[in-house]
Amino acid sequence: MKKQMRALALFSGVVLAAQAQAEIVVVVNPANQASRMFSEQAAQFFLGKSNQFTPIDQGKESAIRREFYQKVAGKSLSQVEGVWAKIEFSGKGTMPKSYATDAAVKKAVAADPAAIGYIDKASVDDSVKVLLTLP
Amino acid sequence: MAEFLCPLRKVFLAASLTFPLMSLAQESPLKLSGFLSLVGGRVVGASLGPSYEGPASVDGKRCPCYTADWGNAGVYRQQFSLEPESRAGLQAKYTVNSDINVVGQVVIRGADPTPNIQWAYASYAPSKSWEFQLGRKRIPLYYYSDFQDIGASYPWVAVPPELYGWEATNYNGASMRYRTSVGDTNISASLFTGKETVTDSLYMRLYYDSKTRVTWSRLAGGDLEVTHGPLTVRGVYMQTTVRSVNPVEDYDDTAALKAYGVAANLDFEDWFVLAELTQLTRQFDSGYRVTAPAFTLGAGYRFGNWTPFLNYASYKERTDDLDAYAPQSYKRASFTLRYDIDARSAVKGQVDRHQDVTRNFGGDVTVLRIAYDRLF
Repeated sequence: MKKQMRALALFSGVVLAAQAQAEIVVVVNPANQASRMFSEQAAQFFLGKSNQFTPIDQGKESAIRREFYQKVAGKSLSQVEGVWAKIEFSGKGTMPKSYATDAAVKKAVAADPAAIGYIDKASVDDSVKVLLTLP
Repeated sequence: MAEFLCPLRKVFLAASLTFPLMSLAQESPLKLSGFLSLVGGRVVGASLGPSYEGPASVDGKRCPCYTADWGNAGVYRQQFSLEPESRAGLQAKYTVNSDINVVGQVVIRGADPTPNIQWAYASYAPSKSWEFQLGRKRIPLYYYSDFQDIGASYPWVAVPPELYGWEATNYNGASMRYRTSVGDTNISASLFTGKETVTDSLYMRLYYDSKTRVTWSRLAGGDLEVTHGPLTVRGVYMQTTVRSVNPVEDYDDTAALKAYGVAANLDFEDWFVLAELTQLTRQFDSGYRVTAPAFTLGAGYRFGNWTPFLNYASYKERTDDLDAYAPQSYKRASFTLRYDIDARSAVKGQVDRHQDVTRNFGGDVTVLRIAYDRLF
């Protein structure tokens, strides 16, 4: 009985944790040659250090955006805005286009062979390829 | 002050009118954005002392005083002022097609309330690797030169004046940039060339009460920036011919200027280090040479929305002819505390202990400053 209770408690704990912190996946166009990526590699496109891939962002105020930058690079949104302000006001690039939903991000990624985006793992389908999971 | 706030209100008005348009038309080829830094400060508890040999006032400000912005003659004195460093800018970017865009940026300053076109260029990027720009741009002499007006993008209240700020900060000309990645290392290399004429140099106003015309001609240089993980290293070389003419002071001299610099930044999740070392040499036609090595070194730590930052900077001139030129040297330690209000605005407080080593320009001072930085 005690054992069952413990198992139940453990199970509900896992469910609660999963609800609170959804897994985020970094996705690219299925035509992209890459098969996997480290978070540091993904971060360089979203922080303007490399322009080899075209980053696709989520809504400015969205919870997934805050969580993504924290997980992929340990950066707050304030730091991210600062990084892009440097780039935009000095003519070295343009802030990534942002889309309000996972569906819109997938559509944008599916439309551009060089695009890289991030969505909730639950939204993944055949239109995109997953390169990295951020737990 | 009122003269400064008036154009500032216009910028706010323009921004508030354009915001609704921006959200309505995200895919519009015209993108408007802007930045604002309101900076106030004063010099405290200072006296010039008997050994001081410099001017009694700088740009009309009674000394002891502190030159925070050499390029725009931003000088603090013993009375609180928002004028020396406050600024606001508005940028319009028009995307013609995926390869071509046109950018214009206008900035107004407390130290110079006339709206100035800082940037106005056309950009052509035929591939992800190559970009060519033609028009008016910032001279990328230092690591932060390109974005030295964007207070929200750095931890200090302002970039270190021991390095930043000369007679010319912008140029009209052409530049090209090449970007590539080798493994996980990102490389960016650029070349630039052009010319700048400043009819009434604010930098020279620090020394003379009358207009000095300064020309930076045959300006040419290049830089190489390499990033790998948390490390960014940048090297730069630039040369130009500087001619300064002031008929009232009967001054007309030309110098060959050569500048070298290296910057290294480390950016971990919490800790970060900013370091920059440069040397400018001016060989004057009238026969003497002035060499000025300078460096800044700072480290900060991010605690959530708070970022304390400690910095030390030094500027030291040397000359081969002390009769022709009196060298200036400075040392400064500073502590800044930044608080991020939200993703696009921050407040900062900074205290500086500045030492006028050569005792000939402003005196030893402690400076207190507060700043509000915002992006819109």
